[in-house]
Amino acid sequence: MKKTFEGKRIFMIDLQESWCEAAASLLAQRNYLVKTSNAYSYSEPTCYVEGEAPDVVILSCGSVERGERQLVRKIIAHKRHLIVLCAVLAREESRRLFLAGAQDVAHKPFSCSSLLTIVGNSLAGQEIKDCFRERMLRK
Amino acid sequence: MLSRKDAKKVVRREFRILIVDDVVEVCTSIEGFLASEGYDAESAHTLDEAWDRLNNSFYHVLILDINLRGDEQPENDDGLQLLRKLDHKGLLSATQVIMYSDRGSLERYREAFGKFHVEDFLEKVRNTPADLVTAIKKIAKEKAQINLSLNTRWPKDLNPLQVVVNLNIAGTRVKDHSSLQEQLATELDDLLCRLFYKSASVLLKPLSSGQSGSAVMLATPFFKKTGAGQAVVVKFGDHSQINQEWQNFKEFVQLYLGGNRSTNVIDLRRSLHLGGIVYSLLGSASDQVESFRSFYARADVRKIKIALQRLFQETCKQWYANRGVLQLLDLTHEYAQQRLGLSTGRLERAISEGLKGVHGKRELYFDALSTKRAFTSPVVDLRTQEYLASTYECSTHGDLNGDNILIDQDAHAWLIDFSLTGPGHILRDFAELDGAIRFQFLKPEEATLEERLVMEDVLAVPQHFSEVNKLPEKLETENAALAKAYETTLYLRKLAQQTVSSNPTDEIREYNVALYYYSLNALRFYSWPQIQRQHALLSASILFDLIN
Repeated sequence: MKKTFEGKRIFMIDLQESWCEAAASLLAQRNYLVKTSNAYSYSEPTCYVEGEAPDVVILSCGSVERGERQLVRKIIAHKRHLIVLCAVLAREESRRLFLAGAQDVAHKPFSCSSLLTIVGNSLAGQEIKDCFRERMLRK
Repeated sequence: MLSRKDAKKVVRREFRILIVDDVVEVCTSIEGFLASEGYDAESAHTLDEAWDRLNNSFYHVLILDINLRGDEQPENDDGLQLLRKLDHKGLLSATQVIMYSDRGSLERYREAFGKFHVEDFLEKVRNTPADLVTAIKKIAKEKAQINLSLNTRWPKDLNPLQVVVNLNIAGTRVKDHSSLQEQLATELDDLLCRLFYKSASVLLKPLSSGQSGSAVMLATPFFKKTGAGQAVVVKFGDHSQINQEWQNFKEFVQLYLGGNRSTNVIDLRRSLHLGGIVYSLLGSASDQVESFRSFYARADVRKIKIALQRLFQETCKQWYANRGVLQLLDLTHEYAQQRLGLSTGRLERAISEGLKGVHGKRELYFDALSTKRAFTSPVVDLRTQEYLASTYECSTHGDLNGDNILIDQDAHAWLIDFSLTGPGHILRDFAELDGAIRFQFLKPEEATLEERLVMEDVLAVPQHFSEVNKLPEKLETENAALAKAYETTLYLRKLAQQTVSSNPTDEIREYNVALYYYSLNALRFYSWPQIQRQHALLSASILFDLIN
């Protein structure tokens, strides 16, 4: 039976308010607790991540520029699981994001189901069953 | 046994790299670059060859192409298949992976990074073998968490080759002079370099190599800047057993063991076959800890009693405090089937083939006894047995023998080895230790079977648990070792009685049943001397009469 992750707290950041709200309402239908941010600057979301420690942070953007990279670093520094969704994404950029510590990097999904799959996989991936690896990654 | 000089040869250390690519020239080129930087690498060109190598040797870094079948099959993803197999086997925690391929795509990046946590994904078109070497250097320095320059100091009369003998790896006991012994010695050295990667050197001292097929050592790490660290306990053995131990530790120990003498896990690593776990002994003032078995051998009864009292009433206090309500427990199922896996056939063989000087079938006679006393055979059809008890269940250690309890100079106690820890009959640990003290700690030369029988007869007197307190404090004997075993056992039973004193039934039968099954189990310890196993048989017989 597929595991559900109801009640997990998801924080979605997208400067584009309409996309952010649409994705949030979709996730809320699956009983995720969703909080959104479409503030003009990235400092507000950083404070929220630091204070509330959500289970998953989704950074949704058009492309990854300097500001996004800084935000990624800050979120990872707070040991949060981060998914980066991007409209335009070069492979080398995705490699850099993974190396920086992003848990998943994907193109902005075109369908509801693919967004749910990305989030579901991320939450499932947090439950590492191999204890030796769990210890290694935690360090 | 190989000499110390030979042992040093076996543990020659190097950063081990495996390159998996179907194009021989690519492998040769990378090998050349690596060699110029002082790294030795091996190559494999097919999925099967790579899998074979990874199952027979261990590597710190794996450089992996995705397509291992060339342009004829452009969609081939054998490299990712290999990753999946390694992940399934749990080997990705022992080997760091760098993907090196010209078949990269976002989806492959997502699978490799997101699912398998590869260290890097380099595309051949953009990255030369020199870039690969840079990535390997970074892994060796920052990610692998291994110190290949670790100075491991073994005691003079011990080396890794000796330590791995008798380990139980995937059901196989490691034998002296076997190829597995040599491989495991190298792996053990590598494992220590992983477990103590922050240390400059580590001083090792054996604590025990138990029946469980694992080994335990006391290790004092030394750091470059800060000098000697606190001594820790290292246990190593089959990686799946160590994994189970960690899971049990998390579930049953971490939150419960207390009394300021807690065991805590500070690291956990694995290599191909071996897993290693490092315990810190919280509250220990020095590195002078020893196994309860060796403590028992040299300490007086007064000090042993203090250690036992601290063990059960301080270290394990929370387990017994969280015992819940009285319930109906099927002790036969718990001990004979679930815990000890006893079978009538094997026990009968253990007596008829393994024990000399014991005659009879339904009634047993012992040559070593001067009287012609007949003892009921305790081995009956176990499938028809059913011993029920109204008692408590709580977390128990599950393997409380003399090697899994550590005692310091002040008689404080710590537990190690949690591979069998879990819920069970509340008196399980008492009963197991009880048997170990009477049969095993009392050495063959210390007491005759006749003398051992005297002790068993006295201990069998109580009809109710509270009557244990009425037994004579000392056994009427001039044999000091026997007197010590009796006094210790009596004290242990008093502690057991106190633990279940809230049970209104006051029945000693539940304890006797547990003792009976542990006595039967001891018949299978073929490595024990005859007299200790005969003692176990005598005890099982007396207990069998009592509980029936």
